Amino acid sequence: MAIKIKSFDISKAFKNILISFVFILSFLLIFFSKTDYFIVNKVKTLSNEYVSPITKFVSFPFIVVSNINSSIQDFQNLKQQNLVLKEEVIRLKKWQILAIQNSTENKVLKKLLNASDNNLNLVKTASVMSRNDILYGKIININAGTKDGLVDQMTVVNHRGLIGRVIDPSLNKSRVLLLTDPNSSLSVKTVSDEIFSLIQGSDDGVHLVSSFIKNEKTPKVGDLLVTSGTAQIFPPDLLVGKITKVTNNKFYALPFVDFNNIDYVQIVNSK
Amino acid sequence: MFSNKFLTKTIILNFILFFSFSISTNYLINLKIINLTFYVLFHITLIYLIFYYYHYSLLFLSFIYGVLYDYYLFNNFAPHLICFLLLIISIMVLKKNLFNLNSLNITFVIIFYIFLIFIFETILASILYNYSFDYKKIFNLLLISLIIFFPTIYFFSKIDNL
Repeated sequence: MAIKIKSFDISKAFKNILISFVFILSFLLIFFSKTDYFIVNKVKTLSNEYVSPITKFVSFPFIVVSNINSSIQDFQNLKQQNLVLKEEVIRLKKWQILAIQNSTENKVLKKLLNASDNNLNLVKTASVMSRNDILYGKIININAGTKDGLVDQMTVVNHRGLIGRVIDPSLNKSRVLLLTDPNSSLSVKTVSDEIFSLIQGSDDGVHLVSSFIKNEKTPKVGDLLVTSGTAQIFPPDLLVGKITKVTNNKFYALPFVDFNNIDYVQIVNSK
Repeated sequence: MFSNKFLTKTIILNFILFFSFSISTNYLINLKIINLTFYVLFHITLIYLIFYYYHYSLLFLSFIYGVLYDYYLFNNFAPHLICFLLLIISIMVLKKNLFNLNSLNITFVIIFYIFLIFIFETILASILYNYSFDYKKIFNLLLISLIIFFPTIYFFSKIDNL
C-alpha cells in the first residue's frame, strides 16, 4: 500500500500557526486542569452534558446485549441462588428478632442521652446512566445535576455504604468518583478501636489501601471501617469496608459496596 | 481539493472512529472485552487515518478525541491528548521517509506505533495521575491489537478500494 497524502494547499505559515495554536491550547488545558480553572470545568461540563448522551445512544445495542448476557447468567444461577437465599432468610429471621430488641433498647438509651437520630440529609436519589471505569479512572455518570441541588464533593451512598463523591456536576448530570479510584482519598476510622487513617483505591481496582495511619497503630483483620468525618468532605460514621489484609505499614480493605452492581445511588449531605 | 471518493472514505473512517470511541467509553460490565476491542480499534483507525488520509483537520480531530478520552477515562487532561498530538506530529515529521517504505514495512510501523502509544499513555497516566503501570492491562491491549490488527487493515483496504 502506497501512502496517499492529500491535503489542501495551505501556506506553510498558516500550517505552522495552526499547529502552534493546537499545542498551546493543549498545554493550557493540561495546565488549567491541574489548577482547577473555570474554563476546564466548563469543558468538562459540556462534555458530560452533550457528548455522553450521544455516545450512550451509539452504544445502546451493545448495552442491550450486555444486559441480556447478564440476565442469562442470572437465570443459570437461579437454582443455586434460591438455596443460598433460603439459608439467608433463616439466618436473617434470627437477626431480625435480635435487631428489634436492640432497636427498642437503642431508642430508650437515645432518649436518655438526648442524642439525635440520623446525621444525614437526602438530597437526591439518582440512577446510574453509564460507567467510565473501564481502564484507568473509576467514574460513573448519574442523572442528577445542579438543578437537583447537587454540588461538587457531595457524598454518594447506597444501601450498602459509601460509594464516592460527586465531581463536575452539570445542570442535569454529574459524575461520581468511586472510592476505588487511586485518586480518591478519604479519612476513615476503625469501629472497634478508633484507629484513624487515610485510604485510597488500590492498583487492582477492587480493594482500598491505606496511605497513612495515625500514630502508626496497626488495625486487625476483620475490623470495620467507617468515615471519620475529620476531612469534612464525607459525613462521619458511613460504612466503608472491612479490613482483609494487614502488612507492615499498610492495610487493605474490601468495600461493602459491590461496585459492579450499582443501579441507584443516593446523594446525601450532613444535617 | 478533495474528490468525492476521498471524502466518502474519510467519512466512513471517521464514523468508525466515533463508533469505536462511543463503545469504548461506555463500560459494559459483562462484556469488558468489547470495550477493550473498540478502544484498540479506535487507536488503529486513528493511526490509519493519519497515515493514509493525512490532513491538517486531523490535528483538531486528534485534539478533540484526546480531550474527550482523557475526560472520560481520567477526569483530567493529558495522556491521550499528548499521545495523539505527538503521534500526528511524528508522522508529519517522518512522512518523507515513510513514503519510501513498502506496504509490509508500513504495516510494521503502524503496529509499532500502536504498541508505543499504549505504553506511552500508561506511562503518562502513571506519572501524572497516580494510576499504576499495569502490565496485565498493557499485555491485554497489545494482544487484542495483534488479534484485530490484520482483519481491521484488510477491512480498511476494502474501504480504500471503494
